Amino acid sequence: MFNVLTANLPYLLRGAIITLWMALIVVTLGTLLGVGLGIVAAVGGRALRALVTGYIFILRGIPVLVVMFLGYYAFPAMGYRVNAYVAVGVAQIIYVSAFAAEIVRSAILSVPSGQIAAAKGLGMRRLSILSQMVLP
Amino acid sequence: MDYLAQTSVLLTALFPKLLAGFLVTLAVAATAMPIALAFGLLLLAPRMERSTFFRFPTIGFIELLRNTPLLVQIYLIYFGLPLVGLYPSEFACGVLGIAMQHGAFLAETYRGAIESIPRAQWDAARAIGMGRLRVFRYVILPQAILKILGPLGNQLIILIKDTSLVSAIGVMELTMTGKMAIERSAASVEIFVAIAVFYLVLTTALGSAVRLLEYRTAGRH
Repeated sequence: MFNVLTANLPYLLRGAIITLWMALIVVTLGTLLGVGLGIVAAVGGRALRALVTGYIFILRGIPVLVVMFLGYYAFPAMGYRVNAYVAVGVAQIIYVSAFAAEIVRSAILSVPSGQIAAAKGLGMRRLSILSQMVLP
Repeated sequence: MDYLAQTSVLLTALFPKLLAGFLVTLAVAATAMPIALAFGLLLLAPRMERSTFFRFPTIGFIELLRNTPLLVQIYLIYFGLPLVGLYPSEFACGVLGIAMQHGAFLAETYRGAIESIPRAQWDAARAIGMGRLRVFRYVILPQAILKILGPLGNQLIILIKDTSLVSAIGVMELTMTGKMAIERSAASVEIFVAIAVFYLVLTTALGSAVRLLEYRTAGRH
């Protein structure tokens, strides 16, 4: 039974390497995108905030498998021909970004608002409040 | 006919099929949920045992279940059980796979909630003469249940979404129905958007129910 495994080991290894690469790329890009979206969801203007919150809500409510199928079929539907790896990779990046965004958003909102008011009182600008106080 | 009218005609025609798939998804989730909850409890006792004899194998088992993809586990059950002479249906294999992995996650969730109750409360209750079981039943459990609602709800929402994976072994649930429908109609994105809406309805309903429950028990800490 197990000589099947030794015979197919090279293929399984190649699959493992692809898994590793996809995980690396998806986690990196997904987290980066998610952090950006999370910041917008926490401190952006009202319209932007609603948009990102909707994005998070929808993606967190549907299975990855469905998101991957959507990604796989959406590119050809929009007239782009991409290979399956790219289509599914992009779908997963979007999926991961929604979860990362939610984590970043709730982390930012957990910083007491009094601290932000205090920093404003000291005359700090919004961006420097974010980068020097809230994010750390 | 313009695009919108065409799509709506297509989706209306497909609606009974999608609804049937939705009901199967519901059935998978509703069967897997109680089994997962019970399986988690079953793993909890040896996991929290002080002697390493029971605890270490249980930790190993839980980590094995948590750290391999559910899809791989479902395949292992579906293709592995026939090797030992068991031939359960696709539905049963899918439910078993989902229930086992989510049971392992739930065991850790339970444990987290129980361990978040300060140890001093155990000692205090023991000191006034309560037995270990009574301490657990009357002191620890009521507090742990209040704390666990949020994480438990999240896990069950993930369970609902994971039911899409049983499409891989041919259970005709929502995702599988969609795949079949696409092959017949060639309208791909539209159908999957409709499917996403179905899932969204289900997860949002459960999420709101959990939040309502949390809201109503809030302040009882």
